[in-house]
Amino acid sequence: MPTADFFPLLLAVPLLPLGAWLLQVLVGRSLPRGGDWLPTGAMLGAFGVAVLLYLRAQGLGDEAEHFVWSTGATGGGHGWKWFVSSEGLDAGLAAFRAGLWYDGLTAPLLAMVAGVSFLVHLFSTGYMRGNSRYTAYFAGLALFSFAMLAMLVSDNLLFVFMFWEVMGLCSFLLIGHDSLDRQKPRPRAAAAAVKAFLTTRVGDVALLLGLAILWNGFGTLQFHELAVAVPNLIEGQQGWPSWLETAGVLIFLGAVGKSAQFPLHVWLPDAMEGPTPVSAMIHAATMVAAGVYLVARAFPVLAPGVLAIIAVVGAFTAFFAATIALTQDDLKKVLAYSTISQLGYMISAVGLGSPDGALFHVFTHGLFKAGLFLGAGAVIHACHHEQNLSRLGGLRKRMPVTYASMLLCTAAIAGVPFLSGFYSKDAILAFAAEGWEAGAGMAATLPLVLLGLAAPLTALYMFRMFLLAFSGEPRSDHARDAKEVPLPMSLPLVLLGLGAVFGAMLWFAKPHPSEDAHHLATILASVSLVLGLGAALLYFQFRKRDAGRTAAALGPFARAARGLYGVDGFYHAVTVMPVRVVARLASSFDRRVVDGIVHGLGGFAVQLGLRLRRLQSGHIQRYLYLTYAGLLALTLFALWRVS
Amino acid sequence: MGLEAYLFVSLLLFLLGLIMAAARRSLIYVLIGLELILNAANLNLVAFQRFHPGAGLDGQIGAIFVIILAAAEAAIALAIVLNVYSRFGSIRPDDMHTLRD
Repeated sequence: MPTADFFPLLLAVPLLPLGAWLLQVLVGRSLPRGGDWLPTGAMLGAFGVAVLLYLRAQGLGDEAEHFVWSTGATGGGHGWKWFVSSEGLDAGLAAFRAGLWYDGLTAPLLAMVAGVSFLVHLFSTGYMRGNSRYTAYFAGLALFSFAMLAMLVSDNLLFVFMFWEVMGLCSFLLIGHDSLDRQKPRPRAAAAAVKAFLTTRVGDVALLLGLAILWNGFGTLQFHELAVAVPNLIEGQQGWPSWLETAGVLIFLGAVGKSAQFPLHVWLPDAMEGPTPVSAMIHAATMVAAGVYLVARAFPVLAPGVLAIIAVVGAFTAFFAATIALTQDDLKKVLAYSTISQLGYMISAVGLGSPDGALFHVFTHGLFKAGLFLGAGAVIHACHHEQNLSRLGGLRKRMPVTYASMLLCTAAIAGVPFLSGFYSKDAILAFAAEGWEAGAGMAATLPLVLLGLAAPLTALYMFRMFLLAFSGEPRSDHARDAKEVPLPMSLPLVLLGLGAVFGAMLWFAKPHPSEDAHHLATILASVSLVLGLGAALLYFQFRKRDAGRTAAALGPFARAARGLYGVDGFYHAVTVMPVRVVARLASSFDRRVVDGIVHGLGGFAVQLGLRLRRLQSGHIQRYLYLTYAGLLALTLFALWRVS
Repeated sequence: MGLEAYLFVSLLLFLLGLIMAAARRSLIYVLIGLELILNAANLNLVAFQRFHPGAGLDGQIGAIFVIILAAAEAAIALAIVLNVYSRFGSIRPDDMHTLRD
């Protein structure tokens, strides 16, 4: 039951960072400190408003899980009219309308995204100090936050898509931020930015087609109208029409690109070329969460067959990325593959019929993954941009705050009981177990098996990374000289560490799997944790193996995982190389044929001129002869015409 | 004597004038060649008038105009020749080819 001041407040959440972005772009450079306080302050404001709304929603008590506040539900029309469509008229809807949406899923997510964005802004004021494009960086960050927040309060899929594209642009700008650095330009950052942009574009095209099919079929893209229209259609037709299944698959493909699911996951590890706080932003609060959010919101239109595909693809990605994470030596790459793996869990949860569970994991993952990435940023900052695990180590005593925060976040992602990650992952495993109990065949078994296998791997690779970085003796001078980071950077770490512990309590809509499945999942998760943590401790803590020897010990499997299973190579062969060949052909065509014609024409005129100038000899009597010749020719011509 | 004889003489004069203007190695002779061409035309005009009874005095007047023009042309041309001589020290047409590309 929204009050009158509710919608302006909700609108203020995305508009604050948008305004900050605008000011930052226009006058940011002339402001003191490059204007970094402007987006940071705006994000703090947005976070404050989001928390206010959250508290108001929490005040509903037991209602909090199910309430919906939207411009569609207040009787005052359905938001504002954007455009009128003839298809919509046929379907009984006069116009495309867009409005605001706020429900029990949005409330914690909105507060989480605003909060994490704010902490990333705050952290960046320390991490990015002295960067040659400081102002531009904060402008990009603000726009990024705006797009994600605006997406979360949209009540229709088209607006979700639009802000989704804004996020694509921002990720491009921020991943490639260092490519334009004035002191040390990094061309690899530009390549990574292009790769991220193009790879997600593949999914975006599919998504747009999917939305077009939905619009054509229903004449609306609003969540609440679709949630009513689809069951009506199914009832009327007694089954899922194939066009709706196609739309579901296309929408899922959009999420595959954005949320870095197999086989479009290749851009996310490369996106590590961006500054580390940007990685935290992309991996925790924005961008990849958008893909999960999309499929969770589009859940009503997903047919059972599509859901099965989603569950299997997500579970496979979770397992597949976990094995790669195990073999990476780069601190940030481990985290990147761990994100892909965790996103696999979320996507799989949607496929298993629990969009609530998926968003629950988005929420908790956002908190601890932001903590992990900012912690990694602190480590990298303190160690003079050393991020190879085999040259870190022994940071526990040197960076106690970072150590404590990272320990909590690592424990949370590994699923240590009573930390936030435990609850959300446990819920997803429980839904997988439920699906396995209820169904039969590969589609029912595979998600549980793959997710179950990924769980101990998660604990193993996360603690491997953690132990290699923090325990033992420092393995390089940079690690030996590391010092704790200053307050603007350590404060976000502390807060996110606390979030990683208590985050699960802030979520309204606790998923409710069946009792049996829940027990099975808890046992599975606990055994996984013991196995993974035990293996990591045994191997890295007590035997002090380094990363390289681990890989050698695992043999051909590790080599395959290290080679990323050839996926990147495959894309290089089938997409990059053909484009290069075509480009080379086009270039030579341009040089030989097009330029040939142009230069040929010019050369012809020049040669003609060179020959004609000889006539201009200066000898008047030669001119006379030429005149006579002309006269003769005219005379002969006249005679010929007459006769 | 018919018209053809006049025209034949005129043609002869014309061709001689053409050749003289183009081939002689002195500007004076070139001018004389031009005069010959003009006079060939004069002869034509007068002859045609003579053999066309209805033409009145048109041919004769035309010829007088041409003579006047020729006189004016000769005056200007000789002045040019004098100037050419004072500049180049010669009146051979081949020596004055500075106006070229």
